[in-house]
Amino acid sequence: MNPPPIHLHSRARRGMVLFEVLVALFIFTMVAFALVMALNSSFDAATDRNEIDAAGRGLENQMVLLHAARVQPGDNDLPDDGSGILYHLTIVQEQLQDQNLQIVPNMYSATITATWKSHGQTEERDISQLIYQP
Amino acid sequence: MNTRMSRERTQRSPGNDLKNGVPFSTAALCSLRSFAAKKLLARRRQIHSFTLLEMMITLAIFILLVAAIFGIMMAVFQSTASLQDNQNRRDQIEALNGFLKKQLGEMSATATIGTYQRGNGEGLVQNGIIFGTTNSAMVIDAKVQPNGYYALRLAAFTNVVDQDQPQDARQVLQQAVTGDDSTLAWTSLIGDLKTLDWTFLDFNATQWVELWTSPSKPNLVQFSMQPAGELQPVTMDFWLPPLVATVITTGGVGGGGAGEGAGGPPPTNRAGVPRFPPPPP
Repeated sequence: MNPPPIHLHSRARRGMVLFEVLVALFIFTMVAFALVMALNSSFDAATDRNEIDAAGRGLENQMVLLHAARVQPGDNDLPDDGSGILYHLTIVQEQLQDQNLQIVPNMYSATITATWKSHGQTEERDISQLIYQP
Repeated sequence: MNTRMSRERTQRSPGNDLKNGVPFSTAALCSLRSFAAKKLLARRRQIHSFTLLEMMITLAIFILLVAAIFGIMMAVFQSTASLQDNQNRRDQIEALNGFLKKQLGEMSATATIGTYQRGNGEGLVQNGIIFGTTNSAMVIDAKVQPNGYYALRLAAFTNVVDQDQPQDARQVLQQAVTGDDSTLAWTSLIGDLKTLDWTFLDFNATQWVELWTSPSKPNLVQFSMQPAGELQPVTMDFWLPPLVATVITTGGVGGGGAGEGAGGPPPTNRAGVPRFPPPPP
C-alpha cells in the first residue's frame, strides 16, 4: 500500500499546462498572421484590379477622343485626365494593300500606352486601333 | 493460563506499548501510514483544485484571446464586405459603360439627341438626355434619392402610328419626364451617385458644352459621374459616327433587263418585306 508519487506527478502536470498554453498561443498567432496576410493580399489584388480597370477605361476614352482631331504620324503625350495615369500616343502610317496589291492610302495605326505607378513598380497597358482618315 | 493470555493481549495493544516505551508494532505502523496517506491525498486534492489567482489569469487570457479573435473576425468581415461592394460597383460601371456605348453608338442617321432640365434641375446642370427618332425615343434621367444621392434611370417610348394626330416620340417623352408622369415605366441603371454630368462636343466647335439643343447630333458625348464610394469621378467618352440618311429605292434598279426588277411591284421576301436588289455582277 505505497502512496503514489504525488509531487512528481503534480510538477509534470503544471509543466504540460504551460507548454500547452504556449503551443496554443503560437498556433493562434500563426493563424492570425496568415489571416492578416491573406486579407492584405486580397486588398492589394483589388487595388491592382481597380487601377487596371481605370487604365482600360481611360485608354478607351482617349481612343474615342482621337476622333476629334486629324491624326498625324508621330509620338506625343496626351493631356493628363487627373487620374494619375500618363497616356502616350503613337501614330504610324500603315502600308496595307488591297486586292489589287495597291497600297491603301490614309491608313494609320494608333497606339495609346497608359503608364502608372503601382506598389513602387511601373505598370503599363496599351490599346491599338486602325484608323482610316480620307 | 487465561490470565497470562489476557496479559499478553494487553501488552500488544499500542497504547500500552507507548506507555511502556516499547517500539510500534506492525499494526500501529500500518495505521499511521494510512493516516499519513489520507493527509497527503487531501493535500493533493487541494493542489489540483484551481486557486482564485489561477482562475483570474485563465479568465484574463481567455478574454484577451476572445477579444483578439473577435477583432480579427470583424476586420475580415468588414474587408470582405468592402471588397464585395467595390466589385459590385465596378461591375455596374462596366455594364453602364457598355450599355451607353451601344445605345449612343448605334443611333440611326435620323436620330437626334438633346438635354432637358426638370424644374430647377435638382442640383444638376441637366437632368438627363433624350435621344431617338420621331417613332422611338429613350431617356436617361437622374433623379434625387431620399438619401441625397442621385439615381440614374432609363425609360423608353415608342410611338403608335396615328395618321390623324402625328406626334414626335421625343417630345412626348420630354413632356412626361419633365412633368414627372407617374405612368412612365422606369428601369434603374445605377444608384448612389454623388454627382453626374453630360457634356457634348461638335468637331466644328472647340469647347465642350453642357446643354445640347441643336437638331444635329454632336460628334462626342462625355458622361462623368462620381459614385458614393469612389474618390475620383468616372468618365466615359462616346463617339457618335456621322451618318447620313439615304433613301433606298426598291424596284426598277438597273433599268430594264429581265428578271424580278423589271417593272411590276418591288420584289418581296416570304414575309412580304421588300427585298434589296441584288448587287451588280
